[in-house]
Amino acid sequence: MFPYTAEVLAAAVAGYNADYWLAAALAPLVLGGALWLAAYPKPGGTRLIGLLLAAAWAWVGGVFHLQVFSVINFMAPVYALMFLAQAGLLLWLMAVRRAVVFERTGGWPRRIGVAFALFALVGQPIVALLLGGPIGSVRLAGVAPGPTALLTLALLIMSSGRASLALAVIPMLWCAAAGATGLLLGVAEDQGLVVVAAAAGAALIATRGRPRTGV
Amino acid sequence: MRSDRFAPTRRSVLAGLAAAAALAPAGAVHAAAAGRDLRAIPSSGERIPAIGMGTWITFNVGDDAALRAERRAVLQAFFDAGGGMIDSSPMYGSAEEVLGALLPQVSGTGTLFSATKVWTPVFESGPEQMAESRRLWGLDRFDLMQVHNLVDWEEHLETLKADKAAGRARYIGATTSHGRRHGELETVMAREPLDFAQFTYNILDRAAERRLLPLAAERGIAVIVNRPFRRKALIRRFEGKPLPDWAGEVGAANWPQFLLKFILGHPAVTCAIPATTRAEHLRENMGALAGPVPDEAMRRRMIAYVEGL
Repeated sequence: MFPYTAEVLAAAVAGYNADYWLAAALAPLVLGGALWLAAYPKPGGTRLIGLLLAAAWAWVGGVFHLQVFSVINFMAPVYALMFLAQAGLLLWLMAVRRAVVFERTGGWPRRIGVAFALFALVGQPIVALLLGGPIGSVRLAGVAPGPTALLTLALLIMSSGRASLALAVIPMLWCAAAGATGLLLGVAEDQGLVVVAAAAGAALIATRGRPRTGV
Repeated sequence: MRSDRFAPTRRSVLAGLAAAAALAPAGAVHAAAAGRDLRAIPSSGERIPAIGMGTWITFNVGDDAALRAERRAVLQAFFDAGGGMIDSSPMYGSAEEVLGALLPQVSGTGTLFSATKVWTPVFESGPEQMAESRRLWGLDRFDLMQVHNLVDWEEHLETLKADKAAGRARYIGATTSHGRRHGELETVMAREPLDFAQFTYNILDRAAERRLLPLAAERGIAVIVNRPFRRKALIRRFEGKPLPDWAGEVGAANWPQFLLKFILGHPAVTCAIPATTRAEHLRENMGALAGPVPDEAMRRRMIAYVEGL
């Protein structure tokens, strides 16, 4: 049982988007840049992608969960720790260790990853609007947890290296939790998220172990 | 703002006499209460309205101005109807802060019976959490401070006893909900000098009838009933189905009143605390304060009716 309703959650997100409108406007654009780097790898790209994703997870943990969500949900500090831990993992495994590799050549993992990433960046907000949600309450990649988790899974699909599976654990856990919340609160957007995330997780597992040429 | 005791008035005395009369053997229903149904807290004799208000989910609206305005209307309707007990908890997100912000904006709050809880597994932070609750509500003391869901109850109860002695809380209690941990609550009720016990009881969840309600009566512990509608589930289950022809005999004009009257018919119950986000639903709930109260025979009839639907 959650201590808030879908209406209250939407109001909290609307207030958050209004308070941090610049971050909400810029984050999807910046993470669009990360998608570009994953699709068209450049030297040092993995490090930059890791930095951008880590910054997004740290923002969501430190600002969304700790400052906004914690007002209505006593579990938010736990979620914040989860997101900050993921930020640390991304920094360590991608920016420092470079244990995740983005390959030059294409193939179906790249195409699937791009599709999931575009859904996280653009598709999910559009779906939320089509479902009748107010524009101010739209959850955006880089500042809101769901689309940030999904985008991370999408980029990991496009990568190789064993670390990508380890980096997918927390995003998958979050998507499962968000889906369960959506089911109990009747938020269709979150119910859809768990389905898309499950497909992304399956795609990620299916693409592991393939030999790749990395940058 | 401060919370005052209910001063005895002519109306409350009449209501008390009516309630006392209702304890006598009766037929289908107890004698109709003259005015509001006020119930005595056994440890003091102080009388409070038998319908209060919970705030789980409903008052956790954060900073949203529109939602706060709606809750202000609910709060005003509550006091307009003679409401007393408002129950909250630090676990309820922004509910305490919202209450503290809205209470000065409504009138008639002199009847407020403030009830909240301590909810932290870290014993040392209990006093700090309770002080924060007083700050959020804007109160110098709470009428009732409870240990939420029996979390770390042995330690917190010692603090509560000290707070009661120091005047930071007038009454102390312990809570559980959803029918959980009844055995442990029974132990606490049997062992500790509680003024109040809070647990779930409704027309379909009647486990409390076996031990907790009789024990409360035996030990002189006031009973707060939470989840009288299983949140909204019972209303949803029965709405659209006809009330029995004899619902008027128990003073119920709608399903919420029917369900609340069932609870109030148990002689050990002091106060039920339904929660709502809408002023019109609040008025329906508070309507259960008036009129007759079902006796045990009638309560069995009420159970048989809903179980047959």
